[in-house]
Amino acid sequence: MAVIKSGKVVIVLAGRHAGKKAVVVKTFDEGNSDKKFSHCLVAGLARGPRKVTRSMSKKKVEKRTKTMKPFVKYINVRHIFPTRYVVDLDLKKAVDEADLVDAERKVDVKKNLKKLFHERYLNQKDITSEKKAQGSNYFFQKLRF
Amino acid sequence: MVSKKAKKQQDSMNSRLKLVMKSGKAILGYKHSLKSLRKGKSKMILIASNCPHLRKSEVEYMAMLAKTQVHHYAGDNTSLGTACGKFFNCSVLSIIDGGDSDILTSGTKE
Repeated sequence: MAVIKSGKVVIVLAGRHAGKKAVVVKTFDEGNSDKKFSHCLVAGLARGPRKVTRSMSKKKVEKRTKTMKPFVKYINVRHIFPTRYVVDLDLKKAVDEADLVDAERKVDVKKNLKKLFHERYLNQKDITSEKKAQGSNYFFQKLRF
Repeated sequence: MVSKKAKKQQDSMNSRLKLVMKSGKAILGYKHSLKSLRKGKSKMILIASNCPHLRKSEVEYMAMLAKTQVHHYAGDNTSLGTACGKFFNCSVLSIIDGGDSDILTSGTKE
């Protein structure tokens, strides 16, 4: 019963994205031919949405939430710290492994991710289950340290 | 001075550990213990008293996620190492297989 499962929110501990939150898309427990260590594919937020208040107009809110910048990365499992939160975004469709090899297609993957994250952030009120709402809420908040 | 009851519990824990070392499987050390937690192989975690608080919290959180029991060993890392029959200290201990010991079942009562 592994701890790191797809859909879990994790915190990246090392590398350029250290301190950022990500969602596990796929885990490779035994590694594969390239990476002979336990790793996983994560999709995270390099830059989160800007703060938004009630007094801002809808257009302004849209603009301020568009600043999200996603990243996709294969990370060694030692360099991520799992949390108890889960995000129920269906990322497997958005992040197709074949697309990550080619640089151009990787850009498209990130664009799709941005749209997905953007939608989820704006529609957080629509999530009914409390557990799922907590997960999304946690994911978009910046980890302060 | 350590109370009589506390000392008795401590002794029983030590003897259980000794049995685990002999008949079961245990992992000594922070890094390796975390690895066992991540894989879900760990059945129980023992943390020494002088383990750095941040590290203690980290191990406890991982154990919570892995639904693994945590026991705060009454004694510092030197004692834990000695209890395992080793000549080095050990702050975090992960029990993979209890063997003949009842450490996993009786651990809940203490």
